Amino acid sequence: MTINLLSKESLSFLNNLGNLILPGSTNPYVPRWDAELPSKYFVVEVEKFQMTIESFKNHLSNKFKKPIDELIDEDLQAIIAENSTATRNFFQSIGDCYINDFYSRPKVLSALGFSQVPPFPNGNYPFVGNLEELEAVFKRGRMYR
Amino acid sequence: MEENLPGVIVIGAGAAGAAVSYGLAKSGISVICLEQGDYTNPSIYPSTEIGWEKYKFSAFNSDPNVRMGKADYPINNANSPISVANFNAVGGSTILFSGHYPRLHPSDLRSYSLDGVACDWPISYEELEIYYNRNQENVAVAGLAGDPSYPPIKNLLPPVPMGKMGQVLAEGFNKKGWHWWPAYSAIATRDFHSQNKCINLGPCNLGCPQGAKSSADVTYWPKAIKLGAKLLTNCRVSEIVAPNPHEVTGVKYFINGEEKFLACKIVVLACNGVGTPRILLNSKSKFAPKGLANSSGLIGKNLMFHPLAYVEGEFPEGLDSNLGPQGCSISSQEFYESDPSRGFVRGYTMQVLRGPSPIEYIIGNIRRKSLRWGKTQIEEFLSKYNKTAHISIICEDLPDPSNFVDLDPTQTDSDGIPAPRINYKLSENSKKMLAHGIRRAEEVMTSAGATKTFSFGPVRDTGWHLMGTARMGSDPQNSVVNEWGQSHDISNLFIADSSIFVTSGGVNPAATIQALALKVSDGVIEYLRGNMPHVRAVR
Repeated sequence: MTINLLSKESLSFLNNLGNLILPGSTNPYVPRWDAELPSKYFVVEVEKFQMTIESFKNHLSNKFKKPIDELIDEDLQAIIAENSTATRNFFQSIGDCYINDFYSRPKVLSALGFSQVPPFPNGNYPFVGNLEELEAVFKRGRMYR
Repeated sequence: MEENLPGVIVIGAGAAGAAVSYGLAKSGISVICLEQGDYTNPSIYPSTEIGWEKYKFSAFNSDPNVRMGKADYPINNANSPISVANFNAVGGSTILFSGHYPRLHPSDLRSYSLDGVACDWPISYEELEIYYNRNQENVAVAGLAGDPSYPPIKNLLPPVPMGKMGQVLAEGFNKKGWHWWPAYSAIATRDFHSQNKCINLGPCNLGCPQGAKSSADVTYWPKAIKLGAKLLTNCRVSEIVAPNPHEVTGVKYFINGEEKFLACKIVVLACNGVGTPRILLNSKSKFAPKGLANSSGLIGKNLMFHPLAYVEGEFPEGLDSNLGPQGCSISSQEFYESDPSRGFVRGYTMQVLRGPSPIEYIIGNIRRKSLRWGKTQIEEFLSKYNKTAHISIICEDLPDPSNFVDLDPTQTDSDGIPAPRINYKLSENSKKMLAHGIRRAEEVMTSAGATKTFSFGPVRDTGWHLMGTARMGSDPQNSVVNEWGQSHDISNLFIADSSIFVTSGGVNPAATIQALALKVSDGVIEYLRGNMPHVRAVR
């Protein structure tokens, strides 16, 4: 299979859009999207959807008549609420890639208080549970046929 | 004597193929298993590396059409509200299963006698129980004895931790006066044979790097190989060769794109309720124009899933929802047995699930618009995450010949073998059961203190349990195999997987699959000893 690499223009669009949809948070330790380069996973995945990217880019351009890095959160909510085909297709195909990439970043996870991987080999210690609460169930007697 | 017994080919190295290969090898029978996938390496399962969650959406996705790995074959799910989930490797779908490991109820094997629906199994619970118990000698099963919804079950390991979330829901069940019990889980909660003790990492459904989950690659395969079974990987069987109406002589398979033939005396299919009919339907000949072993016309018919609904409750306090084995906490079988007043027949299990991992949570909540893109996403996520509880409703599906697997007329896998096509509709009975289950689970959530619930069903990508497509029975006109998994048409052809289920029950099938596979291995042994009738295809 031949993969057409994303153009610089498309990468720039995706990066600017990333800052709009994943701008970090009020917690200053949570970085915004472009604090790191996107992962290889992200680039490989989104390359499959170049027409979808172009279509959404054009849609934003027609709708707002200003560069994407000047869009604000209200613009984003408006375009999502409008639920056009171009918007829907974009977020359905590429939205998961943004989430997967962003929330896999060690700095992001650390700022949010999550471990980067499950704690192997130390493990977790969930609450064992109070099995005495089963007494009422047990006393009901046989339920099966 | 048995060292001289002729060879058996087992097709498929998943739950059933592993157990049947073990049973045969233990009796000294030469057995070769052909598996289209490869070994997986627990030390590199996704949950051991940074960015682990993304594999859930790619190489470790449960949908073969998404994974599109070398071992995968495409499945046409367009005519079904539920899509097939599987994993093709040594260990099969147990590599990704959550470990739910309940048994069927005695009534599940007598649904016609008791409730006037479907068919009775040709075996009783008591007969099956012998194999459930034998299976537990090899498979670590955690749980708690004394469950009033089952006949006594012995030799359970300590139950998996309920977690704070499980405890809160248990109290909700108690307020309703409804049954609940710690989940039966194929998880070693203490060291068991070569399995290490579970350390509650969480994402069992991306493979268990600890080796605590009782996937078939860590339970049966090491023992089977030690006993002499041979396991050939990356070998995809295309058809079973039957040069006359009465016997099979071997299998054709592909390895690295090259077709080969392997001869044997007996073939045992263990490819699940979709893979098995696929091979049989693809094994047409002038003697078997409808597919091999198909004089009944039932190969591929009566496909059963377990239609599944999902109910989530939001709670004001943190529940540590995502700590612990993801699929297993507690279960309720309050609505398992038939009650005509409910408006449907048969029943379901409510399974309490741990919370999703962060990425899965965010993606799921964005899709259902309870999280937004943009500047509020992270705060909204943090305000809700780990404060949710989750129940899945796993419904019994009744057999219906209009639900079936056939071969896709155009789509093929990478070796040119026709892809399976799923033709399935939810029955009215299932719809009523799903609706009932959702309402009851919402009641539990509210009773437990949830401030808000979210529900839907059927959940599309949950077609793990593939049953009924070559069912067992004593009547050759109404079943494909006998109680030992032996084809009614061809005496040296056996089926050991969930295809042979007569009904689905309302529980996960893995324990029953492996118990039945051990029974089938006994059938093969008896056949080789000359104690099994050599049925001939005479129709």
